[in-house]
Amino acid sequence: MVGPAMPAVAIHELRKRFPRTTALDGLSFTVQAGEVVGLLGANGAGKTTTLHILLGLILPSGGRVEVFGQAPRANRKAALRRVGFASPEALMDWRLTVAENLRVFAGLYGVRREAVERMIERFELGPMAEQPFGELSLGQQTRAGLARALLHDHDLLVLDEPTASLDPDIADKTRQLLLRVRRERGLAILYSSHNMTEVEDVCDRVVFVHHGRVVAEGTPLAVSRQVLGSDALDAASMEEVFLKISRDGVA
Amino acid sequence: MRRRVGALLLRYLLLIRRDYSRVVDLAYWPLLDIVVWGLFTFFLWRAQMQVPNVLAMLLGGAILWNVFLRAAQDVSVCFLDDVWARSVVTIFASPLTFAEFGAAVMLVGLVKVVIALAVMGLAAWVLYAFHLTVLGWALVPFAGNLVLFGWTLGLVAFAIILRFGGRWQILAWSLPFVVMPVSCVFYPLAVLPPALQAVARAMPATHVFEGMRAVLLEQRMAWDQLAWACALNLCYLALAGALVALALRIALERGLLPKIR
Repeated sequence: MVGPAMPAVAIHELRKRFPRTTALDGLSFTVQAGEVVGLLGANGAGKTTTLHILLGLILPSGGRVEVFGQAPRANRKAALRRVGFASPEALMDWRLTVAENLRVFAGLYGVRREAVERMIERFELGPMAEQPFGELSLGQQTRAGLARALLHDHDLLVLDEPTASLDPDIADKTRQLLLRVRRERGLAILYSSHNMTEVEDVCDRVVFVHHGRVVAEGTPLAVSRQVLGSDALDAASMEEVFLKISRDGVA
Repeated sequence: MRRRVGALLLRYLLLIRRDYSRVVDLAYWPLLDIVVWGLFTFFLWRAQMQVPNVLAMLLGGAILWNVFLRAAQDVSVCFLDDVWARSVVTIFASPLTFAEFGAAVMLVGLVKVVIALAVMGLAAWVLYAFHLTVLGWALVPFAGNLVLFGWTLGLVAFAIILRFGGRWQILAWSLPFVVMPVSCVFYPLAVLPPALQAVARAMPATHVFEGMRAVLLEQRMAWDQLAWACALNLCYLALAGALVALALRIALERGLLPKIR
């Protein structure tokens, strides 16, 4: 049983050294249950490495990672059963149909087949449910990927640039869908993105990462004040925050 | 655990329906082997070459070789399926454990072995009136040992691909053929040069095929060959498991899993 104060994600002094580079250098942040947190930073800042450690795909060199109090490496099943993950890099089998792929993942997450029908309906995938996944457009693949990520009744959704490569219309629809799911399920979302409009729309809090360390953290408004000294909050100001941190490195 | 392994099994079996190259692997190549070796046997008869029980030896060898081949290739090809589909991250970001993945791909191999065995057994019976049952119950432990050795080679190929990347995918298909000359599939161990005989004796497959010939030519169960095959298989399977664990550890430490192409 998880207590009410248990954070969805707790990352403390996380370090990751690869043979040629240090990706994470003492990264710490938390995501509370029901909170949407944007994980931001330039390419190579350490965002995807953080997400992959969280998902048990990479071993950390040091520090602590917990998903609802469970270490993903030591308690893989217990930790990952509560997590949904979507990314344009995380695809499904291109030869199987959308419905077949979703049935396979329903089995992996131990959910009933009815969940597949529900997700197909909710993500308006009906007309393409019997098409091979590889024949879908990028936007349709993203929707199918989100349907897969939301198949089971989890508590945390990890999204790695979910709207990258989508046109603005589809990206907006995807954002609205995520917000609706969040409202209905009250789940925590850890959201990595380069799209500042999206961040400003979706996130309760943002964590800026630079060279594997957290350099700014708070609500988008608080971070904008801290970095730019400005009370204005819009996509343009978040863009400025992003550029300042990426170029100067410190908030 | 059963549910997750079952889900992966479903995925790979659905692929047979969706990907015709799988049907070719499962039915066409095994059938071709039976046709070619059967015709070669007829040639030997017509040339009046005195090889005792040649039909049974060649067709039995071809059938058991395909058992080994299917088991060996499917372990690593199933993983390559995820590499090609760019679904490695999707699969391993689920609650599926690496051991469950291993169990699922080995089971897939076993299912395909049974299908290939049925296709070949039927073809040999229809085309050449050769009954696979001529091997008697010895077929079960012999085929079982070939499946174990196939899994071992499949795990070795999987470990190498995991550690060094998709550019080593050729091993998934070629590794069984590397050991074929020293596995004595179609000829007895005695025909090999002495140095190669020592290597061949270290192959569990050699003991299986020697055992098969003992059943067919001398009508006796070669318990010593079976014991050697079992003992070697247990050692090699344990070593292959350790190799996979090491490759996995390195892949997780170096972040290779999400990058594998």
